[in-house]
Amino acid sequence: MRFFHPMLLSYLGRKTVWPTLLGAAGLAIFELFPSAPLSGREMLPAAIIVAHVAWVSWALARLDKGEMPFLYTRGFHWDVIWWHRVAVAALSALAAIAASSLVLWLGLRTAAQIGMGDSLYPLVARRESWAPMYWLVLYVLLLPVGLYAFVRAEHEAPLGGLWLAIAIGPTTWFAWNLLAGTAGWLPRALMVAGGCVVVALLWAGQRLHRNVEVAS
Amino acid sequence: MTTMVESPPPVSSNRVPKLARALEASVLTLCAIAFLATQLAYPGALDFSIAAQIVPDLIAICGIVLCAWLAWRGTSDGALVVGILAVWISTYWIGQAHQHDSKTVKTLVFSTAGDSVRGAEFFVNGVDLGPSPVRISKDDFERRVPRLDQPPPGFAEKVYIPFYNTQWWENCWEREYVHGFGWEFPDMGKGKLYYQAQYAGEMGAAPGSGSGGGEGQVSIGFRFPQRERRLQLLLSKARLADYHVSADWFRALETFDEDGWSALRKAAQGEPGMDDVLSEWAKRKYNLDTVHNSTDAWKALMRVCREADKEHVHLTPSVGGRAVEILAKQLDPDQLVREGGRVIAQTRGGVFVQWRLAGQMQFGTADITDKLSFLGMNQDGTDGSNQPTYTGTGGAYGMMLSPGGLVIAQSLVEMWKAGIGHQQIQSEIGPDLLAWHYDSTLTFPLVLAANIGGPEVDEFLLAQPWQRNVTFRDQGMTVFGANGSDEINRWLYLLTWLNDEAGQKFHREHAPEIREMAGKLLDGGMFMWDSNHLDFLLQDHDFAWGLWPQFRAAIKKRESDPWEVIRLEYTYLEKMNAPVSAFIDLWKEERPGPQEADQAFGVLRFETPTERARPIAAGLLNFFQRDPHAMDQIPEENRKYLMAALRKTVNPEEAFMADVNAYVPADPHWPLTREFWRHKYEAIWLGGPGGLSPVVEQLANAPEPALRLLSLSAIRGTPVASNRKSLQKLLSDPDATVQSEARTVDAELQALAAQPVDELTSAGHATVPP
Repeated sequence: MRFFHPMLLSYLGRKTVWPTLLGAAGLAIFELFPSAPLSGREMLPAAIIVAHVAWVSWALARLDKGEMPFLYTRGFHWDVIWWHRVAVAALSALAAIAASSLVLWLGLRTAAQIGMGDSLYPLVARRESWAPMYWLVLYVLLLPVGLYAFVRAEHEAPLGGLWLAIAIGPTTWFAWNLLAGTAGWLPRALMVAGGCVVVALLWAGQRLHRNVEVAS
Repeated sequence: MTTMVESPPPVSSNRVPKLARALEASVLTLCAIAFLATQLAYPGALDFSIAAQIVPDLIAICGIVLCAWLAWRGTSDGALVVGILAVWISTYWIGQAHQHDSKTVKTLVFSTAGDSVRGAEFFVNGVDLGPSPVRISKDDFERRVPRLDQPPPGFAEKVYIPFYNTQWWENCWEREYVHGFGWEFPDMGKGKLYYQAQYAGEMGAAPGSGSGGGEGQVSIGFRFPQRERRLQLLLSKARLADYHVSADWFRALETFDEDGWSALRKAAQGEPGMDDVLSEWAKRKYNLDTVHNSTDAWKALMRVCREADKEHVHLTPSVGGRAVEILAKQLDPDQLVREGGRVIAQTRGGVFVQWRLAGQMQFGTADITDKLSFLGMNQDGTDGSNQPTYTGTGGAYGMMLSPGGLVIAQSLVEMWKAGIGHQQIQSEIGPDLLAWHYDSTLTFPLVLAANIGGPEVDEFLLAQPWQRNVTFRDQGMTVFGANGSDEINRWLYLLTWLNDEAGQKFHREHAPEIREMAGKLLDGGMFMWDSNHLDFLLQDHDFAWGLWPQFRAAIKKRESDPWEVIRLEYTYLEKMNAPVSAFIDLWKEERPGPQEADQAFGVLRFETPTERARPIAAGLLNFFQRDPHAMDQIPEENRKYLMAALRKTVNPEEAFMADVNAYVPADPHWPLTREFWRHKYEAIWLGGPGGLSPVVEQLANAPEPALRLLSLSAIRGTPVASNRKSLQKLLSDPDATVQSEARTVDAELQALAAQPVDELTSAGHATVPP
């Protein structure tokens, strides 16, 4: 059984063009304006990422036109479709990160800040280059939650995934901010736990995906 | 695209499989636990002690279990509500209980301080509470420790320990101690408590000072003369071996922890051989002999970093610090600067301590406060001001400065001092410090960047709004947030520190603004904390002269102690390199009393480099000799001491010989007075840690037997090669008493050379003669 189908990727990718543009443009435009150096922990980019993830996950879960059964009849195994959905979502996130990184690395933010008369630039630009990596971590945590939530929504008690997302979001936010200056085993343990949650959500999403799509 | 159906269509079902329910239950439980742990861990490491509350613990556990069960039953919404409620109530309850606990003393902590003795048995009212630091509940303490109306046996027994006095006219003398410290503990209701400490079978001597480190904490500086003597004998063994010491010797010295390298650093001030011993120690400990290139040097430096982090402490004068001093000259500047940049980016706060040791400002940081307890008592008095100063701030979104981070910082400083990598440090480290800390509450890194200077730093600082009037509300724009400084523009302050051509130009062009800022600093009394805070104003001597009247007016307004006024005035004059006439003029204007004069001359003695202090002291002496009324306000008995003190600055050996000669008994054959014998400490000091000098030889060749006898004290205390040569001559001294004493000293030194070093460890069993 083949696992990688570029055409399927492309087919699913078309569904994520607008959310990807939202994520990439949102992060890139956001970066131009704050006068204080970016830390990667700002609220607005986190909100953009949440919106981007929600839209991507929703777009990839739209089944009302019978697209998934159609794809199934074209010979794509249910699991293959799921993992391509995951890959397309990941590519969408990477596109947003790439765009935001380019704005920093090409000096567009610095130029904008100098243009706005911010005397901290260009010197403080050196501390911002890795801010998009924090956003990438947020994507890694939130995308599986989003994908799972929309697959879960096809089952009884459909808001189960949403409650999960609501629990994971604030926990991540608190741990992200409160443990930033903490050494020791707890931050590492939480990172490992976060990794386990990501893997478990993707795996559970795959299992749920198997027995839900035909129903629509 | 394949057209074949590869697997049967999935079964349609909207029931939630067990797998999903299990996952949701697990993730919700995990979130609740993670949230709880995060709350308990902030700030710092996870603190289970604050979670030791039964009711909130039960609420949290029951809530989390219920949350998991509800999620398993498929009602995740209910699970979420229960989880949030349980965690919120639990953390709120724990927080309240913790606040209440922190206000109520339940645990008492007793510790020894001021040296590196760890694990001394701590006694209160004769009851052994266990090894220091002792943590004991208040209830347990009240139950175990009886009330005493009299000190325990042996408490009042007197011990005399020599010390180097900061009072000029009595340089070396003995201080009286007793075997403990008596102090009434507040709210204890047991009257006076008698604190004692025992180490290696020796009951500690207390100088009569102690301190509380906070509610329920008692920290007392005990001294253990036998242990101190073992350390001195260990150093003397090195002298007897002409500084060629064995691995066993280093192992013995290591048992003294911080006191070991402190003693070496102090001795090395006047004894280059001891400096070599310290280097040899570092080479052995970190295998520095195998370092042949920058790659090897980097590996060795990383070893020092790892050890510092593992030990939770780095102190720049330590053996690790010496290794850094050696390695810094061999490192690749680019690699070190990259690592320095990484440390700066990671570090968002820190607490460090600075103190003066062997005439140098030293730095240290520790994750565990006990690692710094050896500082602070200034017990031997060999330095004028080695009281530690703690500086620091909390971290936000980043780590605190780690001991390993300080190793890297020290390496950069040493590299800079060696004249290596200036370009890289200016183009990377200075800008990194500004970029990551420009809005920090800790101004120290910014001052460091300004001192480094360079084009990027110049451009940045000059572009900032340094002309703006600021108030304490302008966060990130002020300096220290303390007296007066909350109206100081941070950028103007830093530009004044800028230590390059651009800085000098700024000084010239904006003197009025700087003068106005200096006025605010002076009026705010910022210089009272530390005279180093004045340094940036005094770099430009012309500017400093212009500020001199304002400075005097400010300190007279703020300081009620006349001796503190004149101490600061002398400090200012000394720092701005004022001519001798300025000191004389100041004397004429202030007409200080004996106490004030002692403080003023103390600045010359302890804070002024010798080559600068000597002409000033000579000028003052000359003035006092020429003008018979110059010291009219000083009582007659104090005048001779002050004059002797000035003479000691001009020529310590000559002054000492003149002083000691005054006490030589008229009868060449004893008895020698205690006043005479106190000079033996000064002779030892002059011949030892204070600097090798010709005094011992002069004493050994003196015509008076009493002086030759005195030389033997110095030879016994500091048996370096030149002193041993004098001893050989004294072995055949014509005076029978001197000859006999010389033989005794010779026998003692031979016995010391043969003594196994394991008897001279920190807890060594050898009882040594005083």
